[in-house]
Amino acid sequence: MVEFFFVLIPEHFPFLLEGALITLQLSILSMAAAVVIGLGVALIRLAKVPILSKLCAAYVEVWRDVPLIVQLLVIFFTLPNIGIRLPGFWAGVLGLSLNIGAYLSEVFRAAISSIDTGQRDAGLSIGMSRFTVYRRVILPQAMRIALPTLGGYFISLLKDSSLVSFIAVNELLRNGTIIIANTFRSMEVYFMVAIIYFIMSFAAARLVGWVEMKLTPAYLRPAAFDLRRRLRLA
Amino acid sequence: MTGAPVLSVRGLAKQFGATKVLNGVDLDVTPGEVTFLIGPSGGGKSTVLRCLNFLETPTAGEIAFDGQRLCHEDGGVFQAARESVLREARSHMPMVFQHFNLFTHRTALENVIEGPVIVQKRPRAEAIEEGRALLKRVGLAERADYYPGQLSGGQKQRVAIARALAMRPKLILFDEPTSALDPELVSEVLDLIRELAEEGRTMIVVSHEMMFAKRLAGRVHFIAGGRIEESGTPQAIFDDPKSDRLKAFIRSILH
Repeated sequence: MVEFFFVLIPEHFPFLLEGALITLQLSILSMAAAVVIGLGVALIRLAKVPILSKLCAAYVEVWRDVPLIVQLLVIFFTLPNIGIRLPGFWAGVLGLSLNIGAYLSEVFRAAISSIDTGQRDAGLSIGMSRFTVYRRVILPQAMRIALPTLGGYFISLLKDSSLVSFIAVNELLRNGTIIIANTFRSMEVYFMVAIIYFIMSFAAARLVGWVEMKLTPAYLRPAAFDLRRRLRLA
Repeated sequence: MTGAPVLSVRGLAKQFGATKVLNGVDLDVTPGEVTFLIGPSGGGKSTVLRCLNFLETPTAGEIAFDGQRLCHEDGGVFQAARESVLREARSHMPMVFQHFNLFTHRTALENVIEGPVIVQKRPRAEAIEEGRALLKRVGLAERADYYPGQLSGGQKQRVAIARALAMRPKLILFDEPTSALDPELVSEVLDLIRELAEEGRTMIVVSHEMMFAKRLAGRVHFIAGGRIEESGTPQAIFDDPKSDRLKAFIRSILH
């Protein structure tokens, strides 16, 4: 125990934190790209753009039906055969964002479809363009509905990004396995890795909850939220 | 009540697939006139209204609004005006809906200023000032910062009317504005519509409130089976109906 806290942690924690930073970068970049992909695909499918919406439907189907790890390996090891050589980190971002993007497109599609058509009518009836109706009326409401699910996907992404260790990206898990290869202290190191994942996911979950509350009109917020805020201001 | 019509409709038709919902509707509305559309459910009243502002695209006919042609027939081929022309027209004939359709994520005041600021690009401060005045006008000055979810049905509808007024409309379309209200909340909305009529606002009202129509209307059109069956002054329509269908309708609503 003493050794764990006073030798192993000081010695290996910084290296693990370096990995954790890469994990965060991977996750945040992939999530941002996945939101763009997911929203784009959802809008194309809802607008029933000819051909394009069929292609998008096929994309969603294929990417949801192949394991993420297989997708990552395909991107990293077979794209070079056709002349596309991506560094591990960017192959990871590409693989993760395409995968999560497929799922998010369904989240956005459901959220947008759930907005009453009367909202669209109201926007159009005061002279808004279809684009403005989306920007000012439908998307702000749909986002509020999608946000908790989006947050959930981000938290799984934080953890699933560990699969990128298979394509030689020095993220948290891989840095852990490197330490283990040198020290054979698998139990302690895996424990540290687990703790770091937990802290990141826990913090992310709290952040999502907070943003969700911020987007909820004040009168619908549980009293506790405003109380906490008032205490913090005090 | 004379002058060139602000709205003129000829041979308006609407088909959903093989179903003909509207079958050649002619309609003129002169400035300052209150027009009521009455008739049985499914007869096409609301569809007429939704075709006027192109929430539904008609399949045939002509609509001219405020000197602009919104659609016409060119050698038998139906042609709608460009989207920008339709948008411009819509902004001058806002609609008040049966289910209010307030933007649920915006406060009463934000609902009212949305059109002036975002569509008409008027300065925000000016829009807010005017918006507050309008909310006061509909008796909801102290509800400006409430969300739709915090308002009663009658209050929501009054905010929706303020939202329409904020567009400085040339014509207001009312689509069964009291049908979704609890009975005790109907009168606050009807009173407001009556005041607007007395101010000389031009409006088309689809309504089941027959006593209200009788008192307020300049002209009443009885719509059934996708066409205007009978038109006239309220007295002519309610006290001296000509067609059998209208007679039957009047009997049915008087129980």
